[in-house]
Amino acid sequence: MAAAHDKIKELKERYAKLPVAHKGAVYNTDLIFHIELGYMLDAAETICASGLVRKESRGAHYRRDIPQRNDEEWLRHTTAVLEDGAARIGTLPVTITEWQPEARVY
Amino acid sequence: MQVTLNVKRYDPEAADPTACFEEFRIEAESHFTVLDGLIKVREEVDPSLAVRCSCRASICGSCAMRVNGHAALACKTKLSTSLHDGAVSVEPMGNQRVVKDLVTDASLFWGKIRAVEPFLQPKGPEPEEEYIASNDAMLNLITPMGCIMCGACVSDCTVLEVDKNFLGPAALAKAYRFVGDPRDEADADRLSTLNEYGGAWDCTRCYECVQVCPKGVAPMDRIMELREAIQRAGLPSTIGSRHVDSFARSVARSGWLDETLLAVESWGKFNVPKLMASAPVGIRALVRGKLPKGGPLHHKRPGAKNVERIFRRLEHAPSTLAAVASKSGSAHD
Repeated sequence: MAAAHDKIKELKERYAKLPVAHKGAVYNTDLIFHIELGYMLDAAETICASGLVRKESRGAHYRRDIPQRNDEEWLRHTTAVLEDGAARIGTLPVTITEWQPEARVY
Repeated sequence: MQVTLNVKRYDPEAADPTACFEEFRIEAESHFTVLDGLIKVREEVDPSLAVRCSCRASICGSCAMRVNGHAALACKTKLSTSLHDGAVSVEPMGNQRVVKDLVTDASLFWGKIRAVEPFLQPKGPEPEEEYIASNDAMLNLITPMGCIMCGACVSDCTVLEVDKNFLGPAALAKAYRFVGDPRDEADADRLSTLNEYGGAWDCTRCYECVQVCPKGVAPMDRIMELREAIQRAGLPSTIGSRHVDSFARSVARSGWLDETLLAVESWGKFNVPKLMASAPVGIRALVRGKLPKGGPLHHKRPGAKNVERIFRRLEHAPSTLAAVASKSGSAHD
């Protein structure tokens, strides 16, 4: 995950210098894909950075180094704020209403 | 394999914005669809090529375009089987404004869909839970419900080509989907609108929409069922419905078509202006000995009796929409 995080950082640097070949103003998919790629890199970085911070396994977020769920420390939402071109990760408490958290076993 | 894509290009921003074909040669895999080929062109040859696509699995309906002259989903059309001398021609859909290259403006399409009020209109008090429809009643609607709004039928509709007022195959199939729905009770209004100019009678039965629909909706068949429903509802006759009736009467009576009477009865026996207008054609045909003997002079074919028997059989044949005719009575049982 750390390696992926570095790779995304590198890709973001390359992306900053990426030109848009087609300059048209009508149905310019070259431009659309360019914009989308930027957002995809932001999303990828958010996933990676929050995954690194969350030191447990929960649902689809699974870490081989920490396979256990940890409600005491991590029954929290992850937040990500874009700051100086990078994702700053924080957390927020979870408000539990009708559904009580429980281990998902199959 | 080496393939050539002849793509019709149009750029409204170009100095000379005339649409013309451009040739792209690419190396294609044997499993490529036409869309795969176009994406390869866009990614490796010319990023300015405008193609609209999304799912690549013939369910989103975004990539309808003309392949070798006929509308198709580019993602459902194999490149290898579309080649003529190693080349395929790709154009934007017809009957709609081209935005750029292969992308067309969908507003005509959606305008027509909106015009048929494509939503359930039940009457009476709202049930406590959902509106119930039996499985059997909905079976009949599976085909029109398969429509993915790609616009292929609208693109190749030969009536829309000459008259943009026609509702067109997609919207009429959608109208059928609600006329045939046992929960919908706006039939009287729906059918009476569909009986007007631009509605179900304007189809010329060319079958193009049935041929190009990628989802087997067979819009023209749905239009024919709407005509049946219109006639069963006892709505005012139109040129279209009189044509159908006259045709059937003539064949049932004599075993073949009385063309002269067909023209007269379709226009309406008392439609003096129309009859006067078509009189010169009749007179010219008469002078050249080409006016078929009509009315009392129209003779019976040998074996007309057998034809009559077929008609009697058909009168008792069940109709797909027969259930609809009686639905207002049974919907709340």
